[in-house]
Amino acid sequence: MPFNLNPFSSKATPSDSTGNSHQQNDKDEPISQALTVNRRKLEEILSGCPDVKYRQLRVHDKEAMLLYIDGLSDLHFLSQHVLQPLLHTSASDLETIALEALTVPNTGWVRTFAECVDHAFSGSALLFLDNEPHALSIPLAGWEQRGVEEPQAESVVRGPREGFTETLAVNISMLRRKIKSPALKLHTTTVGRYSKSMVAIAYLEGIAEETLVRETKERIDRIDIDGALESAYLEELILDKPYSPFPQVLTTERPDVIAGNLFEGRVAILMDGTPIAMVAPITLFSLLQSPEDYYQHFLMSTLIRWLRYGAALISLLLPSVYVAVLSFHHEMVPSLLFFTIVRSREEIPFPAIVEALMMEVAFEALREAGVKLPKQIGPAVSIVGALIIGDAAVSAGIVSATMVMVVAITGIASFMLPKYSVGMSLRLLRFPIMLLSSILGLFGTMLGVLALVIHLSTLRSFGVPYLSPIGPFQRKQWKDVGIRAPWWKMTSRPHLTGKYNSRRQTPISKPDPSKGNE
Amino acid sequence: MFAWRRYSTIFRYGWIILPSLLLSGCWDRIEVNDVAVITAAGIDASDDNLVELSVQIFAPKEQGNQQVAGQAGNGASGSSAIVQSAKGKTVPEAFFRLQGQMTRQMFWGQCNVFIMSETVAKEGIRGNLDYLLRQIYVRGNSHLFISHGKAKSMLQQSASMERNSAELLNKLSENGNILKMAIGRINNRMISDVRDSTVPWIRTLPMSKGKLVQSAVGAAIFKKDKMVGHIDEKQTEGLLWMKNEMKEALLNVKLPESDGLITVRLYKMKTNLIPRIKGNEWSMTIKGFAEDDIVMNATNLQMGNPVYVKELEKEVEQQLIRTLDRLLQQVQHKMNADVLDFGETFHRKYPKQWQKAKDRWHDIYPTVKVDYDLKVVVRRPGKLISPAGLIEQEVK
Repeated sequence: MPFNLNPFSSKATPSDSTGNSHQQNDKDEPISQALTVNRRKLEEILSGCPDVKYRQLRVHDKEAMLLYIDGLSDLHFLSQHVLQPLLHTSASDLETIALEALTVPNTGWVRTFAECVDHAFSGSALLFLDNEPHALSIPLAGWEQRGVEEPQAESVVRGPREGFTETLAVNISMLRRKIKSPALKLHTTTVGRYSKSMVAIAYLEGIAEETLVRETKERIDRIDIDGALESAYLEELILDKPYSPFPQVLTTERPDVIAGNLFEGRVAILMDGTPIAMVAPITLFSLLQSPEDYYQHFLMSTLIRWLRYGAALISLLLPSVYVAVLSFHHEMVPSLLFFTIVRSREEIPFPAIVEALMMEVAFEALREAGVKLPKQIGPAVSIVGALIIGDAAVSAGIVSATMVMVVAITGIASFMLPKYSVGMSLRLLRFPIMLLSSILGLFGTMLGVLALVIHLSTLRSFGVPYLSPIGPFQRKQWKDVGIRAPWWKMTSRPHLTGKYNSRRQTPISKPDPSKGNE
Repeated sequence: MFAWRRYSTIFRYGWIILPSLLLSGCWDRIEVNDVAVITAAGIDASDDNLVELSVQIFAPKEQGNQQVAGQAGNGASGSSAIVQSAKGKTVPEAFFRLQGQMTRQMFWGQCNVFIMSETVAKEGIRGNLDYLLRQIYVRGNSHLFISHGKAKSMLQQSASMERNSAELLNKLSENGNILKMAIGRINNRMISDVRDSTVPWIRTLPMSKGKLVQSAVGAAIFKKDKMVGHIDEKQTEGLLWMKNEMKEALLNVKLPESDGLITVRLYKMKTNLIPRIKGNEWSMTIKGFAEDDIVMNATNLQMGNPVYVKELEKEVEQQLIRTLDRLLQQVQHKMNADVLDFGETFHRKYPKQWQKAKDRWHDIYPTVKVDYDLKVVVRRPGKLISPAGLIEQEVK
């Protein structure tokens, strides 16, 4: 172990994986009265951590020590509001210091070494005083962080432009600014033996079902992992069906989406260190909704929504149907269209499925390359890839022009899906269905679709059927699936998550001139 | 040790299923590049007592004009059809031989036009029809034509506007004002009580040799599966009118008051057959209604005048009656073929009498007395009221 940055790992046995992360001997040990003992102990625990700083000082007439971590605590704030008052105070016990001397907004008490370490690594400064059996924790967390920016992956034309950042406190504050009510509850916990990532489960008390909240807490608490760097770690660890290619939680970096979902009785899971938050439970249809649906006129939203359903089908099935029809069902194409296709395919040396696979793989590669490249080069790659390679492939007679069109339409359709995660699943599933179609024709396509429908109808996200409200059929819920009902019609919350408190507004809020007083 | 165990059955049997997909026998896939798409087929009788099957095949490449695949499609130059033929004792045999000459598999699925020559039709089309309808890919709604002359030569002619003659005939049937008969329907007619049917009868106009500009269309009259004769274009118009399949028609009318012709366009034409049985006398009233516009007036009569309009309407009625009379003369008295569905009409109104009489219907049919009750209304005289180019004194 050349790089052992962890202070406790030398004592932790690898086989010992039961229970929580700190069941260790000296960590749970309470702080001793003697300052020198404490210092020695801490230096032992935090050995090899040069970013831990100890500041020895004298408060009034007592020996004291300040412990903080370089880079996590705001040094300017530390010297101005902690060090200066400490050096000038006449108080001689921690309680009086906390009450009278320190000009910081908030303090806390720590009593064990484990707590000391936790607090120190969260950016607090710890004040130890001789002859005191506890230490004062002064939260001074202040480090370099990204500002609030517009979310790149979920941009809207109309709607708030702010997105979550990597700092949980900032994210929670954004959420709090949207829901200024004590009903917004946050249950925080840490995940990761080493990463100790802060995770917050947000819900609206009185709207979210208690069983759902309890279940979410349980699933998060069950996680025992060395480190969680992104909410995807949590996502994979709390899913109902971990093998399903479909996303079972909704991921977003928009606080407004989280707030909207909280109003519908769902639970949000935010994690420190990532701007991506999760919402559960969800249905397939909520994955096909964009936040902008609720900000635009409901007629436009309904239209766009149907366009999107069409796009989802196209991105899943178009290449398969094209391959099936071209390899098996020549009589299904209208004559004139068929002759055009025949002519464009005449010089192509490959069967339709090979052609389709080639183009699809090339397209996926192009897309992946475009994502990975720096922003300045990305467009150039897509131009070279899409225009030049596509055109050259057609004129070289490797692929037919119609196939290029089919692949391009499929690609555009998959870009139309508002959630990246569901687009990925459809992209993935396109390939097996394509292979089935090339072997069995439209029968194969139907087999693929059937298998998919069977899978989807058995899928549940935190207990909610994935295909609801279509299967199980609930006509009342269609107001947010088949159409986007106008806001004055959305009087009840979704049945499966919000039935606990089902009325969301008075049913008479439809604008009407007769309601005015004039 | 993990959930893989649950999936082990899938893997175990998956390995059995997967290789079977690679067996060539499992694949009945056929690429577009390996099919010869038949656009039209013709059946001729050849001199040596054999039948000759000709197929018109869509040519995937522009002939004499090699182009890159991507740029093809604007096929104005060159013909886009190849005609191939083979002989055999029967049509299936001819098809088998034809397939033997081909590098690609022939495909019936896009064939919308079948042409049979008059000679074949007169010998009876039952066998050929059976073969066609028995095929999986042959469409029951493809159009049947009877050609005066060889069907093969009809296929070989190129169409000026359309890609090939098959498309021309197909579009003519779909959009045009001509008689139609689908191969599925003629079968139904043959097994009905009356068993007589009409099939469009085509020949190329002599002046447009080589190019199938517009084929002259009449109607071939079939009794059971045998063609007994044909009626001309004018009579076919009457037939279409009687079948309510006519979209519009033109008539040139001469009024006694003036020398010139008046041309009227008939539209919204509707006829009804009203059967009557009185004792032993079977009679049929043809009730008809037509609206028409004046499209040309070369007389000096002012068509704003209601007297002339009335007269014009009467004259149009008379002309229509003459047309129908000629048609009935031919099909009722000469050929004794009930193509106007008189039998069916009697059947509907007098089912009991029909049950008794249906076996000797072809004896009764020629004796059915036909009355006419036509009404023609002139709706619009057009933009002009008095005839063009005449000063006031010249107009009557």
